[in-house]
Amino acid sequence: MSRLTTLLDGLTEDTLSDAEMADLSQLLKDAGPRAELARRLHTDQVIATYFSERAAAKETHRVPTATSGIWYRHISAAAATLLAVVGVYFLLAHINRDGVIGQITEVSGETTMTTRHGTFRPTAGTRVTSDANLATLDGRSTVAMVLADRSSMRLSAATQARVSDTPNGTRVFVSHGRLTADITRQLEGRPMVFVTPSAEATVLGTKLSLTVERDSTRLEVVEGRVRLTGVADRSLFADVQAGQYAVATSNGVAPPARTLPSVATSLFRYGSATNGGMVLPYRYYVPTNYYADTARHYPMIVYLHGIGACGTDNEAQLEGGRAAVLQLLSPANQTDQPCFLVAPQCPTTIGWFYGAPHPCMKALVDQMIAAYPIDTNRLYITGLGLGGAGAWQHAGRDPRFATVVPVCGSKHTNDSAIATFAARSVWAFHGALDLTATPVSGTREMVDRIRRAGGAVIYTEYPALGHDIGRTAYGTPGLYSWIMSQELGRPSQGVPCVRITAVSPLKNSVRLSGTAVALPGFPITSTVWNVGAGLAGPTAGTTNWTADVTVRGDTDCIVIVARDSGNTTFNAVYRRR
Amino acid sequence: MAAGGKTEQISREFVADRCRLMAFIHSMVKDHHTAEDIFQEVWLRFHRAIEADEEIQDTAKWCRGTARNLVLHHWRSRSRSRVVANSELLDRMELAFEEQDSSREFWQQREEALRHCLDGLPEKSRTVLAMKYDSQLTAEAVGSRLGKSPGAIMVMLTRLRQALEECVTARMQTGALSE
Repeated sequence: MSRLTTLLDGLTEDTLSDAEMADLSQLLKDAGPRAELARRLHTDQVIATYFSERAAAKETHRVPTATSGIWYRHISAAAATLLAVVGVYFLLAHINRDGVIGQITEVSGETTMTTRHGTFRPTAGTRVTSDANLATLDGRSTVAMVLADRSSMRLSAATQARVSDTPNGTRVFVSHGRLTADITRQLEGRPMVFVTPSAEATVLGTKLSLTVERDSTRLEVVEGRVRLTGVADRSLFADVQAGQYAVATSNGVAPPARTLPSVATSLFRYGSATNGGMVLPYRYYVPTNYYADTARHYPMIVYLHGIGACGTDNEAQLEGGRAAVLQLLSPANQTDQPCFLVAPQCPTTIGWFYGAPHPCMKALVDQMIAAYPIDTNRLYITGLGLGGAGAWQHAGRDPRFATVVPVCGSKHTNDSAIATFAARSVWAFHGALDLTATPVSGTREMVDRIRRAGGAVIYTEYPALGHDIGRTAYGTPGLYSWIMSQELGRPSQGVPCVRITAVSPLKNSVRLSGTAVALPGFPITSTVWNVGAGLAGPTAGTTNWTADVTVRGDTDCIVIVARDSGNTTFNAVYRRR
Repeated sequence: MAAGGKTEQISREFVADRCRLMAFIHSMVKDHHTAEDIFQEVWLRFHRAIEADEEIQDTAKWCRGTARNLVLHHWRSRSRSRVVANSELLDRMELAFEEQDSSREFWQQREEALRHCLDGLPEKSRTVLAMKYDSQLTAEAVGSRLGKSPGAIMVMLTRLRQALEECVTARMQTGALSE
């Protein structure tokens, strides 16, 4: 009997050890064993259904139940609706006793529930009574619950919320923190209302996410439509549609803005990388039908989240604003140039790099390359905030990355890394008003040092924005196609770019001429030359430019920098030696 | 196509592929009741998605993805370590099914052939299979009822599955289904 058959028998018997599971997983890397697995599981299921149906047929009086195995043959759209109604009714009938309005489905970390009977730690299965106060305490704790109407909610770390059943509908009071919810359609006249210190969000049935800060409430709507009303002035409100977010503060409600990413995070698969006893959970996106063309290899983007998503739930890195990177996976982009995207979750707030790279990062990349047809010349890394710093640091240590796209990352001071960045492609983003631990000065310094080292860097700096630039940065038109055009070992490709087309060394000067090409819609506003030590000047012309640069004996290189109307600068370098 | 017609067609696709979806769920959630619960939850979510006019390009893939996440949720609620250990295996199993999506007609024919082959099994073999697959007894429990060792039952099950596989292959090759 082959090893595969033995393992498949064990799978059917549910007797596989973890080691055997890993063994089976290894065997399933090949298409042959996968086909055999599909056949075997199909056989098992048909046999089970076959005997189940015959057993059910003998019991003609038996009411079809979830386990009868025969009901599915008669199911139809109408029956399914009935099933849904019966399911909700069942839940209501069994749950809505003694003020019970829901049930805890998942708990991790330090969580408390306070009811009139006292404060205790809830577990999966704990019933939630009206007015129960739930709080997640430490940085990794989460709690999820389902209500009688099948609406579900999840409280992220450091969140406090109370759910009350009132004659006017369910009220969810969120004093601080972050809450995501999937709300089923509410009865007419009994909307569910989320109440925060600064706003109220009225819901009739939708998927949403609320982030409650001391003086602001941010609402993101994934499905449906929600009205966000400012508490300070109730005449001020915004109707937020699917794919939009709005922020309410004591000054009112800002108009809804920006479309959310269109790739559902549910499409992301789960994985984990291990090294030396450490575990790095990750989620990853697999291009649709990637296996259809067996000869094709796909690029892969590694995304490192910011400090707010640290933990081990393997969910937070793709939630809310942290999911801004998913804009890169828009249907248009994925149709045009499909790619893999992997998003690990940093287990602690120490960060992605603490004296040394996270020990599991290399294993993660190795694992993806071993399991999927990844183009190893097209590995890209990006990150946001803490992850932006991590992107600099990991790319600096791992020469396999062709491109780095740090968003609000801090500086990386390793000189040898600077030299490696000069040989790769870089597009950095930062907000000029960023006052966090990763200020704009760090990115400016990195960009300047890489340019001085001979590298071509694209740098977008938003003069009126601070740290929260993820959506804006990852939504930059042309960014995705620029990333996809980069390849390890080749100079930066695509636009925006500056090209030096002619060099004429004169006695004490050099005449350079060339072109600057910006992204469509962002005309070039200036082009300058720079030789360091404060010596710089405008070129003659911008798109087609010429620069007569006076040089000294110690002038190493001349940097030509173009700026477009979107506050993006990009450059080319002429090295004298 | 009218909305109702489209819903009905998608629902039919779902039901037609039920066997493979259950096979996928069952392979990772051994408890029959839990597997059925997850299957029904997938169905309810699927139905909700259709009602909400969510664009579902590939029904089988959508359902498998939803089922996979429910299985992970189930594991997570029971044992965190299992999630880490098995998520890679789950991914590869999902891939195994995904790779076969293009030949749905083949799987439906195969199911029909397998049913014919099961009809033709001797009563003794059918009893063993029913105990194993319908009553969900362990090899040890089946053995104790039939006065055999668990090892003997395992060997018997392996041979029965092999015989069924050969029967199915022969039946499909000879085109018996078209008779």
